[in-house]
Amino acid sequence: MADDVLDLWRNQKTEGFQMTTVEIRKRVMEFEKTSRRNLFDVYLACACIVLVMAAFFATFPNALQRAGAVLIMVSFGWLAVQARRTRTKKAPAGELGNTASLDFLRAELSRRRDVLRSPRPLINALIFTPGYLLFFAGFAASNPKHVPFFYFQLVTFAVVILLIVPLNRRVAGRYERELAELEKLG
Amino acid sequence: MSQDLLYQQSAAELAPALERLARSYEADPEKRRDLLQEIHLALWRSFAGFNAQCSVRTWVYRVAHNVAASHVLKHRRMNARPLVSLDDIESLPEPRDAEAAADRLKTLDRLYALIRQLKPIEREVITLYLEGVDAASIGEITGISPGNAATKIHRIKKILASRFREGGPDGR
Repeated sequence: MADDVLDLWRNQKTEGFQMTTVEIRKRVMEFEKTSRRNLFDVYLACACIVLVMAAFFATFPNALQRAGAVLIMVSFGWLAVQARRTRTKKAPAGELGNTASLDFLRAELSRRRDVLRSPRPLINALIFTPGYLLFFAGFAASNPKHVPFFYFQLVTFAVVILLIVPLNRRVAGRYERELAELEKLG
Repeated sequence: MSQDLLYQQSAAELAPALERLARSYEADPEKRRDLLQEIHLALWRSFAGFNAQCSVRTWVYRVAHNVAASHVLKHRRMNARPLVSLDDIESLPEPRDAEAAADRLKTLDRLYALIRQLKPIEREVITLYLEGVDAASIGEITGISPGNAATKIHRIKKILASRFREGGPDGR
């Protein structure tokens, strides 16, 4: 029966999917264009937020809101710089073929685990905190009837910040367990 | 040999195997097509760095499985059913459907469903075994020790024999 299964596997009908080198080159160029476009979209989004905050700065006389708007502009400027730096670098051409699957999987799981364990996501979130808090504190001071909204924003923000680390660690733990299992196979 | 020529020759020879591999990693037809494209792109790119470090077949299978494993990791949902090892598969209950077992297409579907439950390395070993790759080459492609490769192949043969007996799991 095992031979029947092998025959069944090898003789199954396939679609005959193939790509010409012309098609491949075209797709590679499309991917690179999409990657550049994604970076441009991040720049555009950051620029829009900076413009909006600049408008708030010019419009609202409240000192807290103005200070918050400036800090938010600086944060998004920093985000735009980071977006360029953290763009996924292309692996060397032969890496996928030079690397046995076990090593590749170990490296990939380790990378994902390390990203989740890194303090960077928390640091990134905290960089936005002072500007965010000042801006909404100024907003609440200028509009006393919106103070509950300010507190709601504050609590939501605090909950998100407090959850980032334990949630990331939980997922990192799962990757760690998978890595431990892979160790037995080498 | 040029990058283009290496790709054309290996794609022509191994295109059906790459399709079967993609189906082993991805059940959804749309995502499977994307995965297959990704594999072909990665293969073409990779041949720029090929210096006969290994056989072309080993190279192709490594690239394909590495891309597919990345795909599984990327699309995995955290609350999805966990993937299992070959040991766990042996102890999972077999669906009782003698009529389905007699149908070759359904048998193929069951085989793919079984493969997709497996963890990435085990999935790779079983698909390479089904493609007729020998144990030594499986060890070279996957990086697992020869002893481990032989043990897994032995388990695979046992599972295939018990789950895909002629007439179904009960032998009817």
